[in-house]
Amino acid sequence: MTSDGGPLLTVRGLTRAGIDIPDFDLAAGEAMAVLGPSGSGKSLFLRALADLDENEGDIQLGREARDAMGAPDWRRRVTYVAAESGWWAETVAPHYADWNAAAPLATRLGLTRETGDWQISRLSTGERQRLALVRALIQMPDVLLLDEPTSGLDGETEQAVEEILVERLAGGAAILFSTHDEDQASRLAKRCLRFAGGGKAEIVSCR
Amino acid sequence: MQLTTTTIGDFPKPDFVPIPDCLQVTANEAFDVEFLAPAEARGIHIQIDLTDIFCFAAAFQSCAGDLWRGRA
Repeated sequence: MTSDGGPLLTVRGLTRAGIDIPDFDLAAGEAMAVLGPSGSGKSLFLRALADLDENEGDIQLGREARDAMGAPDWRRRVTYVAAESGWWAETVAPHYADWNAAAPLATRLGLTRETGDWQISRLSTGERQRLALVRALIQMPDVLLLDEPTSGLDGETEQAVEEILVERLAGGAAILFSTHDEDQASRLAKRCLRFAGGGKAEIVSCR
Repeated sequence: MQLTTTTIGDFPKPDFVPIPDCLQVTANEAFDVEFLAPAEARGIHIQIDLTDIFCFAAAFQSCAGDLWRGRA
């Protein structure tokens, strides 16, 4: 619930090619897992919510309609982290508005302040994944859209990520995250959006 | 919401400057090295909005020598 008692994220009639999404609300402090086999539509759904691909629907953040704000403004508040993150500079730090502000969070995820000087080419998949998550988290978005945020991480680092996500939920954010890990889904969320064949999804209780 | 999806390949020639204010590019296109590198090779400078990494702006030298900048 927001301060006025309404949901933080309202999704009505979301349509895009390839997926069939039921209407749903997400309260502040609530996480919803997005489940389903590879290729079932999980990423398409998250990208549509982030307004990265052409889509239709009545989407609201609190009382603000998505259509009333520009796509970049929307994504600053409803922030998407792709499963394969994007890097364009040679080293890590230039990918952040303020690496010094990001470093403490990176440190919690097993990286160091010196990681800012590392070459992108030497980063492992897991390091890129953590750094991409940090890049989103430091913006303090209202809603996080995370595409398999821990798929390449070891158990200890996965736990560190989950702890940070739980903190963000306690702080009033909402999170939609895709995962193949049913245990993780039930640890973080009560409701799951489960995709079946043909891109059709339904909302169910996590195990 | 309609998106303006484009690629560097869709840019007009440098002597013809109307680049969209903000290039909405799908992630796979945007971060493909093969997408960015040819742009730089052609003298097109890509600026990425660090608060929305999916939002791009571009600046390049026109034939007249004027620097044109577009930004979200």
